[in-house]
Amino acid sequence: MDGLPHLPGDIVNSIFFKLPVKSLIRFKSCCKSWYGCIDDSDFIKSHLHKSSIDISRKKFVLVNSILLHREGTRKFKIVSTEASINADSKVVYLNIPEYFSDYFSLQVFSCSGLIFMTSYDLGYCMTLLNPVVGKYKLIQNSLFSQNTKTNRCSTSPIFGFAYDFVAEDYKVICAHYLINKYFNVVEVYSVKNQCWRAIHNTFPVSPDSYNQHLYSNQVSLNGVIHRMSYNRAVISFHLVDEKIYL
Amino acid sequence: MSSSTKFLTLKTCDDKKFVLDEAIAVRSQTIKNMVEDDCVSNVIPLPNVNSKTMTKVIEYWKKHSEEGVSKDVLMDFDKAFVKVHHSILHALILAANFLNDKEILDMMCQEVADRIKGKTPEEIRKEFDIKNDFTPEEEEEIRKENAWAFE
Repeated sequence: MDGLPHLPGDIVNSIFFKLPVKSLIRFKSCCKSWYGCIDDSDFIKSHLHKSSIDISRKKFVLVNSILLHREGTRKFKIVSTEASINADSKVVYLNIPEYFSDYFSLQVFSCSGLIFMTSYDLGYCMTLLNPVVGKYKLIQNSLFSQNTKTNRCSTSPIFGFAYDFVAEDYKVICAHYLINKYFNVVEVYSVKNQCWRAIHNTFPVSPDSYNQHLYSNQVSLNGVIHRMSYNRAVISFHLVDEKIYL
Repeated sequence: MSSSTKFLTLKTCDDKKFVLDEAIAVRSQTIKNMVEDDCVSNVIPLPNVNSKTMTKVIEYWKKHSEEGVSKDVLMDFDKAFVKVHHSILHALILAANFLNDKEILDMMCQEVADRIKGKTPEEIRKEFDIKNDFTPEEEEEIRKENAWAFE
């Protein structure tokens, strides 16, 4: 026999762990048992985990916005590239939904293989993107954002995106700051349950309202999102217990 | 060689005997367990491994047990080591699995993955001797759902 017949199942599984997602998706059509192995949710989880601890499989997401002079609008380009310092590292342009070209600003977060994109513009169009399989999904606006007309005094929300490794769930955080009011509204979206929920442990607003604005970059690590406020305080949001710490 | 060096005799399925320093042979977790459990008599039989494969495994063990070998030299050695015919690759995986040598097993699985990652399902079926048990309609549907992976 010329090929590699009759390898035990656990060895075939070890080989699967070393294959890129694209090959695995293609090999699903080999036979039913392979389809079952590759489509298994535990396998997918372990594959993601193994890829995330393997530095050579890590990827960066780069966002580039180009101002189109004639129309005065922007065009966004998102590329993904291997994080390993490799001469043959490939740069891949990601297909982002067409509707993002209508927006003036774009925020992009990435975490554990998923990308969360949103706009600052009204309507937000929060979108989850799986860059590997090229699929995207629109997230409905949060309860509070749906009522922006009645809450006219709110400014653009502050977004956050991270992975809750206990609940095995991706979460989007949307914090609204209310002008002239001494409290904030924080909402959490669970990707697993596909719903928004307001949380009650919110961070206090200082009397000097603009101090409450936060720098735009989040640092997400081990299920905690950190942001810095203008007065240099670090505000952290813990995904597991959904609490904010100052 | 110091007098404390212990040797083990390994016997492959084709009745070839290999005399090996115990310190090297215990790179195999299977042999290590046997030694620790004190169930090593004169000869350790390896019914699942042939002499050709065992020669390759011992070559790997010896190189990786040498003192003062630089990382670069080992990397070059490994690179050359995996460049073998399918059938030998296959035999090495089964041997590494039986001997419970995670290092060789891992390296060989990576080599298989690297060799097959760009192949089509048809080529994979041939290589792994897999029978396609989907109906043409089922297969068509799976392919349609995942068309991007075939680009």
